[in-house]
Formats: sequence, C-alpha cells, structure tokens
Amino acid sequence: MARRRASPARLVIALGVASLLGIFQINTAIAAATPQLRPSQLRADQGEVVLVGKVIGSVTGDARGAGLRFRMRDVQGLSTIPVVYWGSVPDMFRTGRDVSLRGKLRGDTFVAIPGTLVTKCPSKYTDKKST
Amino acid sequence: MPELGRVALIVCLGLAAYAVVGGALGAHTRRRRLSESAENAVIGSFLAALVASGVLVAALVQKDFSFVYVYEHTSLELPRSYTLSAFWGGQEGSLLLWLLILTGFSALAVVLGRRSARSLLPWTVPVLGVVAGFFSFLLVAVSSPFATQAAPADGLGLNPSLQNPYMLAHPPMLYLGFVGLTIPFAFAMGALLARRGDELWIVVTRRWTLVAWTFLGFGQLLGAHWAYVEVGWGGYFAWDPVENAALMPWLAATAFLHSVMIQEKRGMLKIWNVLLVVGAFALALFGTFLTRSGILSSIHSFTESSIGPWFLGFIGFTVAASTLLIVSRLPLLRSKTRLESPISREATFLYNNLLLVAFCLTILWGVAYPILTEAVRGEPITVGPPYYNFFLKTFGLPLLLLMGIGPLIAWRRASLRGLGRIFAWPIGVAVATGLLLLALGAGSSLPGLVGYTFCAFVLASIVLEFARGTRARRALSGGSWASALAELVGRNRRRYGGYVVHASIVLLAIGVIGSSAYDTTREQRLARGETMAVGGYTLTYRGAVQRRGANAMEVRALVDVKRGGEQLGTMQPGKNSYFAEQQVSNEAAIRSDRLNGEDLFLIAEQIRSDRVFLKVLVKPLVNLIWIAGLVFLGGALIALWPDAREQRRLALRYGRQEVLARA
Amino acid sequence: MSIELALGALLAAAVVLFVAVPFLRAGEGPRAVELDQDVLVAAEERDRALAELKELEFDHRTGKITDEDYRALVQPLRRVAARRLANGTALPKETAELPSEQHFSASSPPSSRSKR
Repeated sequence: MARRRASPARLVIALGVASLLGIFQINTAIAAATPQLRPSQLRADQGEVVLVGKVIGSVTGDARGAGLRFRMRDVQGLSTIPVVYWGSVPDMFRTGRDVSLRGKLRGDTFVAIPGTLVTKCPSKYTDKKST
Repeated sequence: MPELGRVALIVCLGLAAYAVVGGALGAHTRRRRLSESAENAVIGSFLAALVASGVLVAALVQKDFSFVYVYEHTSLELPRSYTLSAFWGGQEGSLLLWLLILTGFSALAVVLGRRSARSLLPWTVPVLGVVAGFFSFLLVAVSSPFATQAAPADGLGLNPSLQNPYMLAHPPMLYLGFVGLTIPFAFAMGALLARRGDELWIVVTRRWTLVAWTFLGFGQLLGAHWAYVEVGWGGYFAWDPVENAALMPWLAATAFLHSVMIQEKRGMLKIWNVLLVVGAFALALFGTFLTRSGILSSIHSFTESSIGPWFLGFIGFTVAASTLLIVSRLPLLRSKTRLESPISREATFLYNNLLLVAFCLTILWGVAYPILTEAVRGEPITVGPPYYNFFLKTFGLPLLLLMGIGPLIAWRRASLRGLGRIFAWPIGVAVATGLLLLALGAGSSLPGLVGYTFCAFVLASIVLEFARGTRARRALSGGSWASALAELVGRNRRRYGGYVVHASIVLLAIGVIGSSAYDTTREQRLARGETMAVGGYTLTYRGAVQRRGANAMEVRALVDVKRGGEQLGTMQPGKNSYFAEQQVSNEAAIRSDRLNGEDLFLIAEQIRSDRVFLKVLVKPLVNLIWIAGLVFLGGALIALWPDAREQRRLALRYGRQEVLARA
Repeated sequence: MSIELALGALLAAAVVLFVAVPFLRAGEGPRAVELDQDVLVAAEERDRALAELKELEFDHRTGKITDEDYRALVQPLRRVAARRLANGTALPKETAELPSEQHFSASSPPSSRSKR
C-alpha cells in the first residue's frame, strides 16, 4: 500500500480495518470463548465451562441410556471429580486418555452437555479428529 | 543404512550453507562463477535430500525396526501402501518430506530460472538456501529420522484412521502447496535484495503460485472428504487448528493471486503484494509448525516438543528480516498510480483482498488466542466452531457477492449508467431463484437463503461473461460458436480459467450451505426389526455381523433403507477394532443419491445383535462439494496452460535484458 | 557399515565436484552485467498501456462500457500508449502499432448490440 495523498484506496483500507476491529470486539465480547478448567479448579458458581482432565478408574453406565459415569483427574495432579455424560462417545475414549467436555458442576458431580466429549489425540501427528 | 541417511542430511546442510554464503557473496560482488556454483549447490542439495529419503523409504519397505522411526509408525501387518505413507506419518519423516520437496522445487526453479530469469537468480538462491538450511539443520541436529535401536520384534503400527487412501494423497499434496509458496517468496525477496523495481519476479513465479495454491486447495478438499468418509462424525470441517493451519495460507495465497493482477494491469499495490507473499509463506511455515509441534494439546506439550521453539524462532526471523528488507526498499515500491474510483474492478479486487485477509486474520486470532491466554494467564480458553462460523458468514457472503460483481465491472472506472444494464440479468436471475427457493421452503435458514441467492447471482454473471465474450469474439473473427468459445478461452486462459474456478467455489458454497443450513439429524435406539423415519427415509435394523479383516475385527449393523416405499438397499455402519494398534475406529455408512446430491449418513453405536443405537444425518447437496473439487482442478488447469503468445511477448520484454545478463 | 560410509563419501564428492564446476572453466569470465532498470520498467509500462487499450475495446464490445464512456476513456489511453511506444526501444511488428480505434456508429455490427 503506497502512501498517496487523498486516494480513495487509503480511506477504503482504513474503513475496512476499523470495521474489522469493530466486528472482532463485538464477537469476542459475545463470548465465543469459554474458560477451560481442570477438576481442581471447579467451583459451583461458574456456569458453563470446559473441563479438561484424565479419565481414571472404571467407566460404567450407558451414554445412550442412564448416563456414562466415570471420574476425571487433573492431568498433573491429584484431585478427582465424578462426571456423568450422555451422547456420542469418541472411539479413542478409554481410561487413561485425556479428554475434555462442556458442562456445569451440579452438587459434587460434573454434568456434561450431551455430545461434547472430545478425546485428546495422544500422538503428535494430530491429523485425526476425535469427536 | 542409517549412517548414509545421516551423512546425506549433513551434506544437504553443507550445500544449503554454501548456497547462502557463497550465493550472497557472489551476488554482492557480482561474481558470476560464484553465483553459478551456489546455484549448483541448490541443485546438489536436492540430490542429497533424495538420497536421505531413499534410505528412509528402503527402511520402511523392509520394515527395519532398528530404525526407531520405522518402529514407531509401522507394524508387520501394515499393508505396503500404508507403510510407504508412514514416511510422513511422524514428525521426523514429514520434515524430511518438506526438505525433499523444497530442494526439488528449488532445483527446478534454478534450472528454469537459468533460461528465463537469470538476472534474478543471484539473490534468490541465498534465500532458498536459508529455508533449506533451516530444515536440514532440524533434521541433522534436532529431530532425525535416522535414530537407531536394537530391533524389536514388531512395530507400534500406524494410527488406523490414517490407513485410508485419502491419507496417501492428502499430506503430500498439502506439503506441495506449503513448500510451493517458498518459491514466490524467495524470488520476491531476491528481487528486493537486488534492488529491482520491475515485475519479472511476479511474471516468473505466477505459475508457481498458482500450482501451490491449487495443491493447497485440492489437498484441503481431500482432507475434508477423508474426515467425512473416514472419521465419520457427519461433518467435513470442524475448524480444528490443524485444518485452519492449511486454510490460512490458502486464503493469503488467494488474496495474492488477485492482487498481483492489479499490479500487472495498473501498476498499483506493489508494497501490498510483497507483504502478502511474505505473509503467505510465513503462514505456510506456521501451518507446518501447528501440525507438528504439539502446541495444540497444550502449551506444556509445546515446550516439551523438540522443534516448536525452533519453528517459532525461524518464523519470527523470516517475518522480521523480510519486513526490514521491504522497509529499506520502500522507494522502489512506490507507484504513481492511484485508485480512481471505488466502483471499478481494481476496487472490487481491493475489497476482495481486504475480506480474504480479514478472514485469514480472524482464523489466526482464533488459533492463537487460546495459546496466548494460556501463556499469559495460565488458563487456556477454547474457541469453538460458533466463532469461526460467524465470521465465515460475515466475510464469506460478501466475498461470494464480489465474485459476481468483479468480472462485470471495467477497470479504472465503471459508469453508473452502464451498470444497470450489465447487472440486470444476474440480479434478475438471483431474485427469481431466491423467490423460488423461498416457495420451496428454504426460508428456514436466512443465511442459507441469502447464500443461495448470491450463488445464483455469481453463476449468472459467469455464464454471461462467457456468452458475451463468445459473441464478441465471433463477431470479430467469425466461425462457429464452439470455435469462438475455444478462441476466447485460448486467448485469455487466466481470466476464463479463473471464472471456472469461481464457478467451482460457487458449487462448493452451494454444497456447504445445503449440508449445513438445511440438514436433518435424528438419534434413536432401535431394536431388531424396529423402524425409524428420517428426512423421507425409513430405516429398519436387521441385526449385526462380525468378520475378521486384514488387521482389524469388523463389526457391522445391518440397516435396511426404504424411501417412499422403494427398497434402496442395506447399509452397514459399524466399528473396526485394530489388533496391533489396540484402537477402535468408527466406520460410518454413507449412501449418496446421484440425482439430488443428497447423502444419507449412518453412525452405529453400541452394536448388539438385538439392538443398536443409530445416529442418522441427512445432508442435502453435500456431493456438490466433491464435484466442486474437480471443477476447481479443471479451472486451475486452464489458467495454468502455457500460452505461446504470452510467452513470446514476455520474452521480448525481458529477453534483451536477460541476454545482456548472460553475456 | 563401511559400504554406507563409502556411498556417503561418494555423494559428498559428487556434489563438491558439481559445485566446483563453474570455477573449473578457463578464465574468470565477465562480471555480471548491470541491468538497465529504466528500460525494463518502461517496457512494462508500455505493455500495460497497450493491454489496457485492448481490454477497453473488448469491454466495449461485450457491453461493459457504454459508448459515451468508451469515447471518454479511449483518447487519453491512446495518447499515453503512443507516448510510451515512442519512448521505448525498437519493437517487433506485433506491438509496434496501436490497435485501430473501434467504430461505434449505428451501422457497425459489433457495437450495435451495446446500444439500447
């Protein structure tokens, strides 16, 4: 973009950049972003969050029925929390995998929003989607 | 043979270093023989990379598990073709593929450049050497594919979802695109280093950019098709950072392809163009970094990754050095031409560029924001599809509209009087289509309806361009309509090939809109013999079968499909359990309707002989997306096709100067 | 193991030889000649003006530009193109002349379509 006096091009670009920044502000403010927390950081009053952690212990129940139940632990830590989930279970899901889900803490159980379970791919070559 | 591989990589590094030092010295002191020997070093580096690659391929084919890389990415049961694809299945191998393609393209650029752009080579060669040197260095010192161990009995195997024909083509094709963007970048920087104010670098790299852009675009479509068919969650693009990693450089390259046309026709936007080519290359590096460094799992795995910090450093260095160079050469890049009117073809190209770059930046922000917030606040944030889809509509719909407007407007200044007549037909077709679709029920999605209307507008304007052009050509030179059309396209392959590419984008848009704004989804548990109805189809569960495949146990649910009383067949969604890799993969069943382009998509879970949980998606028009890929290739081929008349004209323009340079 | 190192040495020797080839030619050879930037840029501008004229004509034929606008635009463009042609170095036949101006009278078929 050369510097030219009184050229419509500069005005067009300036307006374009300004509207772009404006749209950005609005949209980021409308909160497309959700906090991502570990089990140890969960508290009752947070509203909807994304929970990230490692699946430990046994997995029981039916994700298409009464609910899939398991426990999650901080990836590098000790605190655990019980989780209940309904919906599609990714093929890579199993005990020991790192997963994330959206949901809310209700009482002492994390109740996930259906269909939001995602497994983190263990390999560096993350060409595979896991949901 | 790991020693040979290591030696070959060290030789490659040495040659790259020589290309940088010797080449820069030769260019600076104008010593012809030194420059030529640096050019030879670039060609030699391809030979060295080829030898290293050959060693890895041989080890893979022999399943030599003493190579750690072969152990980690293949197994005895893995079929031969997937064993070969393991070359790029891991970090070290994919870096080697990058280097192989880079040195190959660089060697080709040097050989071709000796014929048509000799005067540009002295400073272009050191730039190519810097990039090759970086990748060679990583392979030699940081992440080598030739680490060895005591050979275990069997390997770890390849991720099952990579065992698919699309995965044989998708990564190499994307790499051809990423690496291909290095050539225009190198020539641009070479021209600036040589203090050139002319446009030979653009003329010489035009086809390189187009080829790289085509590979990137088609490669992404292949990836989307793979995701749809193989991963099988019912979608084809999830705004995953690795998917965005390829989309961003493609958007930047699309903007660049359009803005160089303005520089060619009007001599404007020289600074914008060099900035864009740097941006496209930096995004290609960034895209490689995103898919390789592990930064996407979390910033903690990033710092554990061996190559992450190096990549980031190199990208930073490239951007900083290029910007400094551009700033120091600003006087060369100033142009005297001004934008005359906000309603002109230049202006629509400028709007198109702004929208493409804006969209690219929003995606970049969406990818970088979570990483930045985690680094700063220690707490990551996720940015999901809603963010991206909002901006896809915000920027995509105006871009669609511009595709229809641009070709119909003349350069410099379009008269408002004439506009009404030009746009009458396309607007009429668009409005009529919109009303028809509204009557057919498309009003359920307003963005969808608007999108379809714009698509009709663009298609009408493209058809009109071909029609009016053919008629004018026929009036000029007589002959049949067909020969006039052939001559029209033949005389201006870039323009009319470009129109065909635009048509493919419209097809893509129609397919995307149809399958996302107008799709239907149902989930239900079905007992044996039980029926469910979705989107006009009737599905009945008949039971489960199990069979043993080459390297997996396959379980399938048998589902009978009827529509309007007519038997359509039996579909078999299910799961595969892979023995060596100990993983389960989803095998969705897809029925594509030839006539209306619709797909019936079935996912089966909890498959038992007496019941199954079915997720059913009906996706209208999704097959247009894949057809668009073929049209895209066709249009790109037309645009790429060599034009003897144009070559002659360019040879005359630059030829004498090149002859002087060769003396 | 030793075969590998031998092959590696062979590769290294081959590329070193290839890199040295330009120096093995007799004599230093002439220094690279300076390019005349002004001539190049002038040639590009000349081509640009000619191409613009051609496009203007075609846009007129296909109806994107009305007769009035064509009249207004063509004269300045022809003057610019003529000036650049005159400034430039000797050209081959193809580009040595300006394309003839289009007729836009009512009787002429190509542009009669562009009238209302």
